[in-house]
Amino acid sequence: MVKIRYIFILLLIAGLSATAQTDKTGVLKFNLGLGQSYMNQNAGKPLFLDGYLEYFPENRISIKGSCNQSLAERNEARTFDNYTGILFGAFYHFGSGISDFAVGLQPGVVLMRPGFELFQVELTNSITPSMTASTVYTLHFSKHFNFYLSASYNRVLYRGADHGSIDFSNVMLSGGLAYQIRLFK
Amino acid sequence: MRVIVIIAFLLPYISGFSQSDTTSAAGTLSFGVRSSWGLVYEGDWQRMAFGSGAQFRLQFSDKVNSDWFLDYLHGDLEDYGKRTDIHIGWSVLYYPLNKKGFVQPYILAGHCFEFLTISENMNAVNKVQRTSASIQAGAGMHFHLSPRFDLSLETQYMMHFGPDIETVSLLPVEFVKEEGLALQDHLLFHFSINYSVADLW
Repeated sequence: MVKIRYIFILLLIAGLSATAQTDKTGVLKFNLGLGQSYMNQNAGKPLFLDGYLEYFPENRISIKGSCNQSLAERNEARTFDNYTGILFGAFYHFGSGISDFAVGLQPGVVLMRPGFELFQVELTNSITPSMTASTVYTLHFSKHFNFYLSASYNRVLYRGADHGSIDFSNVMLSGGLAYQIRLFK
Repeated sequence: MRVIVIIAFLLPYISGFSQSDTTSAAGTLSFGVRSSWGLVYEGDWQRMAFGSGAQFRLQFSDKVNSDWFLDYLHGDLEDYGKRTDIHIGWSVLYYPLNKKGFVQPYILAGHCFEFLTISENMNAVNKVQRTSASIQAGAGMHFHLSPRFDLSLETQYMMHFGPDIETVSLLPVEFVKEEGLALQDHLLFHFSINYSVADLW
């Protein structure tokens, strides 16, 4: 009877420590991953370098700054000669334990120049507003590492082309390995 | 014994005072980012604008907040030009309901300065700029996802007072900034995400 009581107390302590470990308050995450993008209004399929820095001021809330840089193109003609996006926003997290689901919004700006090969016109660099809505799944498989998969909708328009604006709104699937450290407990 | 009884009697009042101090929202400073979607009136409401911005909020009392913002918006002028708006301004938010729940509605009004550039497509040196002062009013709602974090949706009507910019010809594209003051209207929709970082008083 006494042994059963000890086992119960040990299980309770283990459960409490596991709960404490899953509290994400004070965690800082950073990563460099890859993202495949699919344009809604043209056939472009650019590949992006996807980096972010994310901090959890609360267990369910994170503040996230992201950067997207176009690297390559799946098609022969490049969608962008240059694309550098900077986003800043927040995410709400639903998960517990090693699995985490999050949804978030990130307004931002993009420095971009549409590809000459695709549009057959020499356009200039322009800084244009953007907005991204994302869903992210994260698997915390270790204390300092996690895998993540993200699907995001990005609204971006290039203004000032020869026939008005070009809609570069796209869906991006990205993933990679991220690192995390706890700044405080 | 008598001292203990007196202290026990006073404790609820002391805790009551401290609780009322900590639950007041006055002095809350928060930072946020926002996305703006707008309609610009130039004879009709057909000109769409889209932008990004940032803001900070400083709350004066439980029922009065202030919003200090900067927005960067782009819009098309049909297929011949584009407009770039930068809005810098402030609004006062008033919460008509006493209780702060998950949803907190508000009305707002304020002032703004606009820096507008109208330029020709494919020829950015052909441009005209103006600075104007504005007033705005609207309404919105905070959705408090945690005590310190909110998602806000708002709509506002903004009226600019400044020199009018007209397109007087399309071949070649020619813009003219007219003398005097004219009115130009925006209808703006914003969503913002905000996090309170400090309680200043």
